[in-house]
Amino acid sequence: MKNAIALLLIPFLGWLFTAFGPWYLIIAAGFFGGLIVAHQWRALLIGFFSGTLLWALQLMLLEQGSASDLPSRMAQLIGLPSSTYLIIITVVLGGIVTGLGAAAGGALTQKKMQRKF
Amino acid sequence: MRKISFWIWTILAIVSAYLLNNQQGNIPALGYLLSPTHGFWQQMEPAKPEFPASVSAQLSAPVEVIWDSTMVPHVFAENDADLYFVQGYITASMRLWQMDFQTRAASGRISEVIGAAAIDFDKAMRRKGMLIGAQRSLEASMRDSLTAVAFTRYADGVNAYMATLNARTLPLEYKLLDMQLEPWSPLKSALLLEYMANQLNTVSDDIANTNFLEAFGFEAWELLFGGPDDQTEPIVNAPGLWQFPPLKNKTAATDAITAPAGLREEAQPNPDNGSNNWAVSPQKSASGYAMLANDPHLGLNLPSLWFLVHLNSSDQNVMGASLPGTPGIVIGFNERIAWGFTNAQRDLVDWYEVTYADDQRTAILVDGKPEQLEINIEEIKVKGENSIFDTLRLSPFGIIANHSELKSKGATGWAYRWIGQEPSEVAIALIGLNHGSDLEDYMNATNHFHSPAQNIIYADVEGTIGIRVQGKYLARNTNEGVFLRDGSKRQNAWNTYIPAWQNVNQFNPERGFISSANQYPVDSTYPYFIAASQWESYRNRRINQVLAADSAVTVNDMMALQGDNYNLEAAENLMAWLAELKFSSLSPDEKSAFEALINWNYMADAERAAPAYYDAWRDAVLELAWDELRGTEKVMTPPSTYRTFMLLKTQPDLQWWDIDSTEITENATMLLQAAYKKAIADINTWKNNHASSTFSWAAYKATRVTHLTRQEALSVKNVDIGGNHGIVNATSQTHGPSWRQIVELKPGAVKAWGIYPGGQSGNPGSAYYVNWIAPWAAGNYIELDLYASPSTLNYANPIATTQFNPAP
Repeated sequence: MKNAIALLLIPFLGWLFTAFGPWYLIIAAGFFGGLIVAHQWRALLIGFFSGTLLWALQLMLLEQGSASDLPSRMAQLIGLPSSTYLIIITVVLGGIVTGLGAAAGGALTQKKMQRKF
Repeated sequence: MRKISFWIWTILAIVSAYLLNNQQGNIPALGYLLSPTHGFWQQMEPAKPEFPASVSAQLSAPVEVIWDSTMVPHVFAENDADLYFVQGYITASMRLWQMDFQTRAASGRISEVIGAAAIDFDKAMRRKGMLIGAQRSLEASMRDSLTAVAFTRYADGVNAYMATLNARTLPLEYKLLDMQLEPWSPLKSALLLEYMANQLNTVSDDIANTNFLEAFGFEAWELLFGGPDDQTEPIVNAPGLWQFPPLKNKTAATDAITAPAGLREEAQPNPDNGSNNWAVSPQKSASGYAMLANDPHLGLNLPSLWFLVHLNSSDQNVMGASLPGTPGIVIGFNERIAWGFTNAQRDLVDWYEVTYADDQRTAILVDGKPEQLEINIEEIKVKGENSIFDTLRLSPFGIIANHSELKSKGATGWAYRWIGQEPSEVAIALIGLNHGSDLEDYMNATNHFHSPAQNIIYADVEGTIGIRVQGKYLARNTNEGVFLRDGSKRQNAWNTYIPAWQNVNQFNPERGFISSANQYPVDSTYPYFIAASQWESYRNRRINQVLAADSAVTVNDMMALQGDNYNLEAAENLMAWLAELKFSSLSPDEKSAFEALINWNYMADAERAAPAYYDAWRDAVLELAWDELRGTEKVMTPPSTYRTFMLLKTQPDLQWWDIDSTEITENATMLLQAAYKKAIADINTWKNNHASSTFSWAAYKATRVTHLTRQEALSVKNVDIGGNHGIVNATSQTHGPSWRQIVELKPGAVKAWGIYPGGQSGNPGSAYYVNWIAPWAAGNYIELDLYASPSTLNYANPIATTQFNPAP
């Protein structure tokens, strides 16, 4: 249950924080979610999924109604074969930083060291 | 243990956030750049861009902006102060980064944005005195109250727009380059005008001429470089018109001065910077109204150099190409007049040798006495590295740089002087033209046109056509300023200028048209000495040929002429060159090229092969002909192509035709044969490297429109267009008609057409970023509607309307 709450809370907080603050506040969103999970490795995983979920949703919303070839241009600029790679890298990046924040939160509230993951 | 894990994760999170939020070497701040909420994704625009319905700003009355279906803004204000504010605001909303980047370039501050690669560029801008020139020009221009209003209110508008930006909406390039916004000011507008002057008026061969003279003597110099190439079709051919005693620059007689090896010109503009303009009288036009055409040839860049805008207030109704970052219209028309520019080629740069009076170099010797110098230590900030410093000394002969690249220079220094260091009131001239309604207004406005020196063409609804070759020209003595000058005598400093009324001009000539294309300006009876490092000798004659043959010129004729691909240079040389080849001894590839060439109609059209063979051949001829002047310890430059090909024809045994790398002594015929072999070999290499492309002139020439950062991903490559330098459609690989304008001056119903290779938006994520490149290449235009108004709403599907309201 805690995990499910975190999985929903992190994208919500991430959306909220970055609507008003800098992009890296998704790490803070991950952190608060991680506090609920209370387990660093699980929090890392949930944070990662939540982060990728949030950025993927946001990208989908942005792409909708856009007639822009900017993603292809940026993919070329960064040296990627196509914009698909750029989208994958973007969402993975979002997942990683959110996951790190969540892991920190999870570690803080974790009761005792678990023997196994 | 739990705490340790917490700290490890926290540190990892913070470090990754930090690294991803800051540029690492050449890698942009990827977290910021890729984040959907703040990164480049925010610059993706819908097919129909969105604009705010209303904006509250520091205005005295409401202003309405209608973005028509081509994204051209029509600005309707009650007064000029509000009009310029909104012009600044909306221009910034489309082109802010470009305005910012180019003003930083003008003042030699690019290293702080892109790093050490730009240090030489920044040094050159500072050594030329760009900032000093801009400051002087601004001070002079702000004395005119209307210009002061324009500059100040435009800056207010740009700053008001900037205040609306945040990390999300910041233009893409700021995110890519990790650049910070900085406030706009009238000085930045003046810097942009100075930058334009730099692009046009800093061509110099003084050092090369000096070196050539030293190596080969005056007779050889005179043969290759002396006098104009072709004086048969100057801009104004009116012998006897110049009935005034010329003034003379007070120059002291001096011995010839030599330049040290390693002394080089400061960064030079591209030789393909040039332009065409012409005006046709009512007697010669099919409609019975005067007509005007202009296409300035400049670097093909993105975001586009120009921004199209219509400005309407109770004091003016003007439309045309504006320079993003400066108020008003640069090339355009209003309800009464139209105007345009070509670069007025002239030697506007001098180098002086000076002698320091002391070891600390605080003074130079002038007429034997020490003259104190103003010393400026320039700090060039470099991104990611320590600043570098360049000492500049200001003298009556120009700016003396350190030239640390020269090892043993003793007490000698070299001062660089150009017209852009003089105060220029070009801003007053442009604002005056925008408001002008007749010939008198044109004359009054253009009197202020000091730099960049331009051939300013004019036409009005009364049917008057005219041109002024206008700039603040030094009244030079023969060959003065062509070589390195003596900076030990005060008399040699710039002192006497040609009065504006004595500059070359012409109105309503009998032939019914006026044209200019960077050629020599005037017939031989004009009493002032005129020199330049290059004159156009082909485009001008082709334009005159076409206009002279047309007794009823239409707008379509004017459009066809702007897109004309006739290669006059080839027409004058190719058959004679082909006659020098022995067909039977050619290889199969050489034979097939020969056949393409002999059947060619001299049209450098995109899809043909012959223009590519010709271009490769003439390039090889130039390369082999002037091999003696390349790679020398002391820099030299080759003569013009016209002079080269003329000498090749008339003096086939000149020693210059010998190719240094061979053991035999070549003449013109052998040079042409060797060049032909080289050309076909070069073409074959190209074909091997482009196996998947169809061989055509457009593919070979590979015209590109390049983003100012040189990032290929933000540029457009391989534009399907013909033409070349020396052709009226002067589209080479990187340069070409940066704006095409045609105006028909029907009283009460002025009509105009225009286009430029780019789009109104500077945002690579907009559908309007490059949408005009294909129609431009195809020779199409958009109609420019000067009479559109909010009440008539004379637009097909405007994109949006924004109401600017006075802030409460």
